[in-house]
This record gives sequence, structure tokens and C-alpha cells, in this order.
Amino acid sequence: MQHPYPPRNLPQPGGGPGPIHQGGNAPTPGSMSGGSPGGAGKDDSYFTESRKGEVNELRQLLRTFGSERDKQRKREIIKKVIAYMTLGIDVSRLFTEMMLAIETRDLVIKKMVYLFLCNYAETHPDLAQMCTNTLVKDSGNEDPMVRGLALRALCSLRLPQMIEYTSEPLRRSLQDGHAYVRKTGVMGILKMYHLNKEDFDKAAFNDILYDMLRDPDSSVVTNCILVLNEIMADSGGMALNRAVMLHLLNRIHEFSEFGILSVLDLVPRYIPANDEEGFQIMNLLDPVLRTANSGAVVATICAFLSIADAIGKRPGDGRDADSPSVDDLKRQVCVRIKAPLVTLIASGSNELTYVLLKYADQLIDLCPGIFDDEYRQFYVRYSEPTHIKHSKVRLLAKLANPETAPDIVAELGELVADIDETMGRLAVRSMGSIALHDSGGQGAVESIARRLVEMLDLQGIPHVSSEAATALASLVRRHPDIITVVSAPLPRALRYITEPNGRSNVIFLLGEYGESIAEAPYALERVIDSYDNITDDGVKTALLAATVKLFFHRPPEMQKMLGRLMKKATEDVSSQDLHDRALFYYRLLRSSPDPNVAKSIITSKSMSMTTDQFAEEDDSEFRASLMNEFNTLCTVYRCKAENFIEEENIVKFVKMPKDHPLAREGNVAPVADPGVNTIVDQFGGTTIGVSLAAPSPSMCAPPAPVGEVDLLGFGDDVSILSAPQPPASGTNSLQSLSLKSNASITGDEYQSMWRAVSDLEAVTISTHMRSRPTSTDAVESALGAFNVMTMASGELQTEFKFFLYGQEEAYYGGGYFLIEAVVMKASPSLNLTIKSFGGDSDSIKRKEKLDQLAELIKSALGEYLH
Amino acid sequence: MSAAARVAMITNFFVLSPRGDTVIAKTYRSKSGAHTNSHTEAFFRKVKFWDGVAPGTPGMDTTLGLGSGKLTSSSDGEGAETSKESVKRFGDAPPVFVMPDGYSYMHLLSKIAKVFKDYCGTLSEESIRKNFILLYELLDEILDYGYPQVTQTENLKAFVYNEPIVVTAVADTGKMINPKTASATAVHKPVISSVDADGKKTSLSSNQKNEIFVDILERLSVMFSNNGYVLNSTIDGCIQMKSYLAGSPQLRLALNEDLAIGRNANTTYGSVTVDDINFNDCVNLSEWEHGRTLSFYPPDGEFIVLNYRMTGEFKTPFRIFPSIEEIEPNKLEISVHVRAEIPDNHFGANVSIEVPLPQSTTVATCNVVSSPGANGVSAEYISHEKKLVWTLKKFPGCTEQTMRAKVTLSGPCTSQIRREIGPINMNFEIPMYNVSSLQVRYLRIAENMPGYAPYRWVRYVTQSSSYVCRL
Repeated sequence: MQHPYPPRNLPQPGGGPGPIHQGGNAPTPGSMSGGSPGGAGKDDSYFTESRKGEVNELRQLLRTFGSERDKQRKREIIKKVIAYMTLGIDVSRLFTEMMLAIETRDLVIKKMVYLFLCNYAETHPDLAQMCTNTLVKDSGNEDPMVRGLALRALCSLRLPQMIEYTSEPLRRSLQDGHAYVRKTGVMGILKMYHLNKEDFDKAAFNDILYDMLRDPDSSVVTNCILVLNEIMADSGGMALNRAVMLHLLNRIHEFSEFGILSVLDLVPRYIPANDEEGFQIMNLLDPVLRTANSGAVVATICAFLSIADAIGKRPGDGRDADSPSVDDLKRQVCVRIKAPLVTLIASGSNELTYVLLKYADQLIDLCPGIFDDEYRQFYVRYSEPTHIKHSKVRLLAKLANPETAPDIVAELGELVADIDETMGRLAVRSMGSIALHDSGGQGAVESIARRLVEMLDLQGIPHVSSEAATALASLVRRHPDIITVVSAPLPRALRYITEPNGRSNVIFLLGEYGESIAEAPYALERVIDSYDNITDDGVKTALLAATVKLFFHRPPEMQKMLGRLMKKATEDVSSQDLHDRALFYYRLLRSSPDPNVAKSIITSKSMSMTTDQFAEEDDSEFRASLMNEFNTLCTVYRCKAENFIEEENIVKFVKMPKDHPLAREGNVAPVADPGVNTIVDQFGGTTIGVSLAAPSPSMCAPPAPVGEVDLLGFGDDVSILSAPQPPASGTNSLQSLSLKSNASITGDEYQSMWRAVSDLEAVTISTHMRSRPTSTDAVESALGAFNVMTMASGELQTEFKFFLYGQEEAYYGGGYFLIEAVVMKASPSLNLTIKSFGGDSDSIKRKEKLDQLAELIKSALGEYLH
Repeated sequence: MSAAARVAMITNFFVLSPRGDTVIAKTYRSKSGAHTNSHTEAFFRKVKFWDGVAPGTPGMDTTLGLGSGKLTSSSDGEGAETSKESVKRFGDAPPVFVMPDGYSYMHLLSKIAKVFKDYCGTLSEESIRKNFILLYELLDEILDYGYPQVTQTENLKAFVYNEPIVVTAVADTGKMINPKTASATAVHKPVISSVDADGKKTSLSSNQKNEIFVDILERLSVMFSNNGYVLNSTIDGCIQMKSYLAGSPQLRLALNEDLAIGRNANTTYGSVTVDDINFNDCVNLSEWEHGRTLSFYPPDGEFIVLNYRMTGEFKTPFRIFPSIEEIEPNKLEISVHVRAEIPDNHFGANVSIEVPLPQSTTVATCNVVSSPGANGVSAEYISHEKKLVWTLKKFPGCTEQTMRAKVTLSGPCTSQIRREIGPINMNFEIPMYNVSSLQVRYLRIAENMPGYAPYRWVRYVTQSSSYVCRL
């Protein structure tokens, strides 16, 4: 049809290891699906070479699809289509046939067709539009799975013209009783946003999303955070204030493995209101460090460092003398996270270890010396892949202090002769770096220099002697007195060091210190005489500089060879630089009236260093900026984001609240006692008034100062919830949801009301329980204290089942709430289905009340839940 | 102040075979025009022909894929495609959005691999190919629009309808699997009911024994100097479980009561001290501080209850004493003497000892001085790798074994050439033995359920991770 047939074999990556046989990897014939033949004829593997006409064959099969009865056979047909799609074969001309298969009750088939649909919708918009009706219809199905799936497919079609069909089901899904649908709906908002950013109703959706941050289901909350961050990327990410942050932190244990990351990643953007709150947050997050969830541990480290940054004392901010400074705090943080990080490094997979080593590297830059006492943990292990070994060898240099240096240097010495060339080089460099930075304490410099000199003589391993020469050249510049150790073997080394880099460094040393090395002129002479064989410009340049320099120290021996070299070099046209330098030296020597002028220019000892860093090593600014982007790929690549991400794709997240609210003069009210003002109270008390329809303008302008925006509307004095909430406090504060203490209905009434409300409108919640109740009475009495009555209850083999109800005070609408609660015994979990009957006609309000009731029940059963 | 976005988001996910064929490809976010094939190819080329270009070269983007080599490396090393750099990128169309957190990316990918393995039973190219529809279904639920959604095996069960087709695990031909040391990972059973290769349905309940596998696995990193002195020693241990218990009841696991944590902790003589320990998310630590007892609901599939690390003194199970003698200028005699210091009712299994020889080696012959009890002993010189390999299928405790080798070099042996010899590396595993004396006091079902009698398989295994002797 529209698309040409793609080549059968996938294009082969250049110079690949022989031809690619797609059939080669396929299972042996017959092993595939003996019992359930695909119906596709001879081929019983999905990934065998497809021949011409197979797509047509598939079409034939699909036509019989309708009359096929066997579920397995039906699946096989669709499966084949998907297999072809995966291989990159264009099966889009089966679109029409595939769409006929969408009307099925078999979810497996449905999912496959959705997959097909999403894959080809973009290229076949008109065809895709045909199936919209089915999708919209499915999104109202009674099975939440189907609703969610249809919604996801609908939003994933990536067709701008579909937005009008999508928005209605999307809005409906956000009110859905099942978390799966809500979660999918939230993600759907993001998909819509990317489809058409101009017409996207940012204000309205943002309000809904902020509101849904207090959804009872944590996966919905996670998605809300992700979506808000992305939609508001231009203005610095999701708007954050104290209420939101503390609310999320208090629920942090509810989040899944990856959901927790989305919350933890918000913390670095939050500035605690005062020191105490900062410490409270750290204490709250501390247990995360004990988990094996390495992503969360790293995110927590990042959060800690940022809090330390915010609450630490800076010079001149006029705070108490005894409050810890930023640096002290950061050091404390590093001390705390050291052991967990080292454990993760030791227990992770190679890939994770590699990344963690990079993180450790950066933390060492931040707090030098922090990992020193764990240096043995960074020793190279035999079975590790090279990239990890290399990272470790680089790190070891940074772990040296006077105590550890002897061990580390000895260890590095063992690695020098490693079969892996890079490893040998790195080991030498790390040794050099320890000496250069004087981190080894007394005598270390000399002992390292001796080792390096020994390595100069390692004839069998050319790269090591070359690296040793390079390291020595730098070392002598820093510690000129060690030249006595170094000088003797230099002329000898020049004979067998072959690598240009090492050679030019030896020549440099001979030129600098040749006056004290008897053989220096003769060593240089040999090189000059073989000038024509030198291919590397660097060596030639070094040779020229060294010869001229030595000339002034030992003129009688050098004069002749300098002349020869000048001649060669000025005639050498292979390098402009070399040629120019040679001419420069030549003219300087010839034209200078007083040879001492030339001497003073050339022999000035400008090469020695006074600090322990080369200028190019001073990257503290760079490191500071990397630290800002800690826990991103920047750490792994060790370069800034703008270097590997195109500018329009970079997102700059903004710290919030914008102004630093820390109490400098102590005029900020202290944080209320933990446990007194609890989140749940706040919810019940004040949120009901927030209307979805009326967006508050401040929400769309994220970097709003704290205090003005009250996103969730739960006041400003929210505090960390440290203890489970005492049950009694829940009742009083839920002003808008007040249950009658004397409600009573009969069983028949209960049943008729239950039937009158469709399952679609019900709110279902399921939470994990820490422990299960011992009897039904315990649950009933706990709930009774909140005016939730029991209609019937019973204990079954695997579960407790309760039919509960409650009636609102007439003042608030007098509606009934019907609750079916099931407590699973085996893996204790609480499943609630709540329906409301009568009362408010406003569906939003009803929904909110249901949510509140769910919260109420949860808090009543708090002792079992967390 | 600014910080970059950190949440993992995946644009494309694909599984490639070692030859570069696409086995699974899913696009979560597309930039118009870019066909998935261009991504898979670019990725494959990057992995296969890694040019060592420094990461972060401008113009490279951060799309990331998962080669099948990487997937399988966690299971049985099939599809051996060792990656030289852990994070792979390729330059092409830039991703739609944000820079992800390097870490959670890798974490997510390994998580996906774990879920695949839980569902398929084994993770091999064959099992991926046969179950590709199931994996698509899983991918659909694990990620939405590139963001992780549900990643726990047991939570995914509610959303997944396909049944896995079980592929019999390919026997690892390189190494004999010792039933006593095969780890919990060797249990190749999917977590949900499956169809076998003949399409017959095997229901979970019928052939499913009510059982739980617990491994206390310790990997040793030890380095000896040439005179037998221990330079560095670490134990990386973990307690790993694979639960097939019906109904996932709460479990209680108790460890040594005197277990101390932190190197500076006050310890009594003889107590076990670990440097650090971390726990799975699901573990309830309320009784940890006092009773050293953990309680948890075992999630489905394989999981690690806790990891620990010890650097304190411990008794090394084997000691290595090498010696090199120069009999003639170009002839060396190398002898390696190994003493097993484990009790005589234990033994080292699948022991192999490698001695790298100088590049100038021309001939080497070796013979083994074996004492009774050891079996499956052989020693040979592998000329293309220039090393001696000495293997013992069984190395009984409290015995000593010696291997002698005569090595002829092409030239005289200089000090540099001598440096090329070694280090000696030893691989072994010791079934039913652990060095740290960390012990499971008991593993119980938390509540008394009459008639509920699960099989508990508790195994201790000590393995070498890096057992090296310098020469």
C-alpha cells in the first residue's frame, strides 16, 4: 500500500560479525508451540525469516478470525502480527482487519490489538480514527482494567485530531473509583499536553492535578508529581510549598520503589522553614538509608546535602555561634551515608556499582577524606569488569592520607604490571597524583619517586615506563629536590622509552636538570643524531627546548649538536610550530648582543610549581556546578548538562519556596509539636472548599513566595507526623463529614441502596496492613467509635468481611454511606468499597466525601495499617 | 539555584539479541519520523563497536537501551556481550524531555530484568523470544509514557493476563551445577501458572509445592601477599529468598542475637560484627534492635532480604602458598600449595586456581601432588591465554593440595618477566558453610496456621568473589 516493503534482513551494522541470520536464533522447529499450532501454517516460530506474501497470508488468517472459536488460536493469529511488527516489518496494511478484532472479551487479545493500534496510529491517522468509538466505549466499561487500558490506548494514539474525543473520557477517569484508572488518566493528561501544548488547558488541569496530590493511592500521587513536573518544566517544575512537601513526606512510606524517588527528588527543591524542620525531615528520611533500594538511597543523599545547604550556618549570616556550619553539616551527612553507600557498591550489579563509584567520587570531592578509612573497599577485585577497575584505581589516589598512603601505593604498585594496559597507566598516574598532592605524608613523595624510577626501567612494559616518565616530570616540578633520585636513570631511560609522551618528558627533564647529570648531553646527542627517525612533533619540540636550555649550562659539549639540531629543525617543514620555535631560538641566540640576556630568558626556572595543583586541575568551580546536578547523568559523565543535552531540552528546576525563609532573627514561629496538627485533620478541615472549577491564579505561577499560596489549602503550620494518629482526633476535626451517632437502617434497605448505586461510582481502596485484626469485634468497635455502624460481618476461611454504613448529619445532606470492607487474612490487606446514597447531588463533593470517609476508616484502623 | 530533573524516563525500550536482531521494541515517546529501527541499530552499533569515546561528547543524547547481553548477564551469563561502559548512549534524535537520573535508570533496567525473570522463570534469549507477548504486556504495565508505574512482581499479577511459556533452562555446560550450591536463582519456575512447551497448562497449585528457598550467600574478597599474609579481606553477604508459599503469609526471620552493626559498636567476644547492613523495602524492622528479628510478607519471585558487609577478621577457608624457583636462566619451577582450613566435614566444590604466566612462556608442564579425598583433579597449561589452570571438583576440608609446574621461557627470566607471573586467582564454592558465622536462628510463619507445613530450604553457601594471592 502506501509503504514500500522494508528489507527482509535488518540493515546490518557495519563490519558486523558475519551475516545476521534471523532464523539462527529461533528455537528449533517443533519446540515452539506443538500443542497450540499458530494456525499460520508451516512456520512455528515467530521470528523466522518472513517470505514474500506472508503479510497477505496473515490477512487471510485475520479474515477467518471472526469465525474462529478457539481462544488460543485467535491469540496465535494476533501474536504473529505483533511478532512481525517487532521485527520491523510493516504490517500496517492489516489495520482494518486488526480493528475488527478489537471487539473481544479476551484481554490478552485486546492488549495486543491496542499495542498494534498505538504503533501505527501515527502513520494511519484516518484508520485510527475509526476505532475511536470503540475505545471511548471501552473507557466506560465496568471492568476497571478495561477502562484503564482503553484510556491508555486512547491517549497514546498521538493524534492531535483525537483530542476532542479524548478529553471527556479523560476527565471522567480522574474521578474514577479505581486507582488504576485514575493513575492512567493522570498520565493521559501529560500525553495530551505533549500532543498540543497551545490548546492545553493548563490552568484547569493543573488544579486537578494539585488536588489529586492527596489521592489515597500513592501511585496516583506519583504520577501527579511526574506530570506536574513535566508540564511546568518551563517555570521550574511543580510548584512546591510547605504544605505539599510535608504532606508528601509524611506519606513517604506508602510509595512504591520508584514512586518514592519522585517524592525524594522534590526535597532538594524545598527549603525548610527553619533549622528544626530541616532536621526533622532528615530524621524522617533516615530509614530510607537502611533499605536496599539504591535509587532511593542516592536520592536521599541528594536531599540531605541540599537540606544541609539550606540550614547550615554561613559565615556572616549572624546566627548562633553554636549552630553547625554548612560544611560541618555536609560532612556529617557524608559520614552518615558512607557505610550504606559502600555496602551498595559491594552488593550491586556491575552497572550499578559503576554509577555508584562515580557518586562516591563526587562526594569525595565535596568532603575530602570522607572515605579514607574504607580505602580497602575500593581495592580492585579480580573478577570485576575493566570499567569498574579503572574507576577504582582513579579513586584510590583520592583516598590517600599519611596513614593509608603506604598501603595504597603498594597496591597500586601491584597493578602497574597488569595485563590491561589502561589499568597499568592509571595505576602509575594515581601514584603520581598521590605524590603530587602531597597526600601521602612524610617521605611518601620520595618513596613514590623511587618506585616511579624503578618503573622507568621496566623495559618489557613500554607504556608503564612512559607513564612513569610523565609522572616524574610533573613531580619534579612540584618537588625539585627529588631530582637527585630521578636523575641517574634518565639517560638510560631515553634509550628504551618508545612512547612519544614519555620520551618528551624524559627529554624535558634532561634539559631542565642536565647540569647535574653528567651524561645528559650525550643522551640528547643520540636523539639529535636520529632526528630523522622522530615522527612525533612533541618529541621534536621538547628536544629543541631541552637542547637550547642545556646549551647555556654546558656550552662546550652542547654547541656542536645544537648547531646540527637547529639546522634540522629550521629545515623541518612537518610542523609549523616547531619550525617557528627553531627560528626563534636561532634569532635569539644570534642577534642578542649580550648572551646573558638570552641565557636569562631561556634558563629561567619558571617551570617549578608552588601549589599542589596544575592550573588546569583547578576545577573547583566545575565541581561545584556538578554538585548542583548531583544524582543526574552529569555525575556519571562528569560533565555539565549543557554539554550533552540540547539547550531546549534542559529543564532547570527551581528551588521553592523562592525566598530563603530560614529564621535569621528567630521571628518565625516554631514548628508545632509532631502529632498535634496532623495531616488528616487538615484535610478534613479545610479542603472541601477548594473548587475544581475555579483555578486560583497563583497555582499557575509557580515560584510564588511562601505564605501566599496555600495549594492544598491546609494551612501553614503542618508538621511532621511522627507517630500514628490517635484515633480520637479524627472525629472532631472532620467538620464537613460528620456522621450521625444514631444512624440505623435495616438489611433490606441496605441491600436496595447498595444495588441502586452503580459500581462505577463507588470508591475502591486497597491498602496493605501491617497486621491483621484478631476478630471482627475489634474492627467493629474501632469503627463504631467513629459512628461507622456494622450491618453484618463474618469471618471466612481467607478473609473477614464487613458490611458497614454510616449516615451524614442532616445538616450536611443526610446521605448514607455504604461500605464493604474485606480484610484478607493471608497477606493482610484492607479492601474498601464505598458507595454513597442520597445526600449531595454534586458529584465532586460526593467523591470528596467518599475519600474523606476512606481516610476516616483508615485512621480508625490505624493500628493495623502502618 | 537550579537542579535538573532526576526521574527516570525511558523513551525507547528494546531487547536485542547478541546479533543485533530486535526481540522486543517498545516506543514510549516518539519524535516524529524516527523509526525504532534507527534506535536499535544505533544502540547495537555503540555496544558492539564501542569506540571508547568519552562520555558526554556534545551532540550525544541520553536515550538508553538494554542489550540482551546485559539482561542475561544477571542470570546465567548467556549472550555474553560484556559491556565496557555501563551507560550506553547514542547520537541521534534527542529525547523529548529531561535529563534522567543516571542511577534510577540503571536501577529500573535491572528491575525490569528481574520482573521478566520472575515471570518467565528463566531469562534467556529463547525465553524472551517465546514470551514476547507476555513481556510486551508487562512493559505496558511497568512503564507508562516512559515513567515507571508498577514494578513489583506481585502487584503486576493483577494486570497481566498472558501465561508464560516455560523454557527449560539451558544447562550451563561450562560449570557443573552442584545441587548443594546452586543458588535460589537456580529455581527456574515462573511465579504464575504457565504453559509448558507442549502448550499444556501447568497450574500453579497442582505442581506447586508450598516451599521457600533461603540462601545465605557470602562472597569473599581476600588478597594474600606471597608469604600468606592477608592484605585485605571482605565478606559481601546477602540473604536471598525465593518464595512459593501459598497466600504469602508473614514470615519471621531471626538472626544471631549478638549480631553487632558498625565497626565501632561495642561487641562482646565471639559475637558477629557486620560493618553495615541494608534491608529490602518490605522488611519490618520493629523487632530488629532488640531481638534481631525481621518480619515481612515475602514478595513474589526472587528477592534479597538483606545485604551485609564485613571487613573484620575472619578465618579464610583456603590459604595459598606459592613459590617460584629459577632452576635455569630460562626455566622456572612454580609450585602452589593450598591448604583448606575448613572443617573436614566440609569441602570446596568447583575449585579452580589460575596462575598467569609471562608472555614469553614457550612450554609449561604441570603435575599435581594430590592427597586422598580430592577428586576431579586436573592441571593444564592453556597456551593461548598463557596461564596454568588447576581444577579440583572437590577439595576436602583439612587437607593440603600441591601443584608443581615447570615453565620454560623463550629468554632469560628478568625481574620484569617475573612480575608478569601472577596474581594467582582462586575460584571456589563451599556448600553449607559460611565464614561470618552469621546464622539464621529460625524462619517461621508468623502465625500459627494448622496444616500449613511449608518446605523450608535453608542453605549456606560461601563463594569466592576475588580470592587472589600476589606473587
